[in-house]
Amino acid sequence: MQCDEIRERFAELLYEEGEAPAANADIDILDHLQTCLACRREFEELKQTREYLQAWKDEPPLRSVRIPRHEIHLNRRNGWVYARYAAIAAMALICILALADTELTWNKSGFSISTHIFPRNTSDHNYYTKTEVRDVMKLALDDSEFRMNEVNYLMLQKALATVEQDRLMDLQLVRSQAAQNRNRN
Amino acid sequence: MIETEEAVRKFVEGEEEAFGPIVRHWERKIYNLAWRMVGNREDAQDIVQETFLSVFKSIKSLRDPGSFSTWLYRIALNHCRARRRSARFLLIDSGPDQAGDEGSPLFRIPAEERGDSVEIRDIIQKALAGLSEEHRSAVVLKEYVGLSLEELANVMDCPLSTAKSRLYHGLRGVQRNLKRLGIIK
Repeated sequence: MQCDEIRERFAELLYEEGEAPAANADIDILDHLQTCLACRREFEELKQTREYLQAWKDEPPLRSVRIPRHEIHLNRRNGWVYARYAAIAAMALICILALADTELTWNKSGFSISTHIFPRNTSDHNYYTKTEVRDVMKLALDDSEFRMNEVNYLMLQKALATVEQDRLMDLQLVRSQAAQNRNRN
Repeated sequence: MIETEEAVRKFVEGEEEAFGPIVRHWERKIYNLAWRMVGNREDAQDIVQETFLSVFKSIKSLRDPGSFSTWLYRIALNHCRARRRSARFLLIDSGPDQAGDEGSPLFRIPAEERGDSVEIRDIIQKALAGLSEEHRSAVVLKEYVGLSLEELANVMDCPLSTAKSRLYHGLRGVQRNLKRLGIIK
């Protein structure tokens, strides 16, 4: 192994954290150190550096950590804010779903309007076929024609009744005038 | 660690009182980590405050309470990075830390922290200050926080071999800076 490769792995030996199998990993480095004076010297210097670094001891913090009051309130409120947003989102979703699935129906059961959150299965036989629609339309037209004829008939009857009444009144008048003339003569 | 997991779980479930034990357990570690990263006690204290405020605000997004420590160290390191980038700790181009050239500038140490007496801590601080962000983080997390190499790789979000390499180069940087300061012959 090259010196550079060995040196990159010095940390394993310095901290005794070689990869498994640890012994083999460390043996490689140790073998190299025995034969390479430069690497051995550097390794020793690094050990010395580590010892020197350890002279900087830990100290307690200057002050305790304080969480500002407004952050605590904000943290508490967050739950409610999220709940409110969730409720609004749920309502909006229901509205969208409802609007998206609003149904205006005219079938054999009649005319209806319905709104569903989830799509429902509809059976086709409830709806008119083209032929049936044509028949219904024809029936409706026939019906309206019949009604029209009936109205006309009634109007004619009424007109005839009025004419008849006028005729009878005229006849009565003529008869009374004839009777008066006979009496005068 | 299990206690922390339990406290994290309770806090996520809405028990605000559970945050106290979390802070008490971790604030000293985070303070000392930040102190070594930025080299100033006041700034370290601010970083602890900012870190726990971030934790308080976003702990609910943490899916696995078991990975709390990794998550916490990452947040703390991010705050350290932000602090170092701020005007007060603006790095003067330090160049490669392995160069070992004479007069390689270290990062600016605030006036109130500078003393005539050369204390060990100040020397280490100066030796660490000359490292790049990644090398410095690796050395601090390993030497002072005491993470395993695997944990170090997790916190730094890099492969294990990269973590070992960063640690080696970090220690080399410290060693060279100490030599330059005349501490190691």
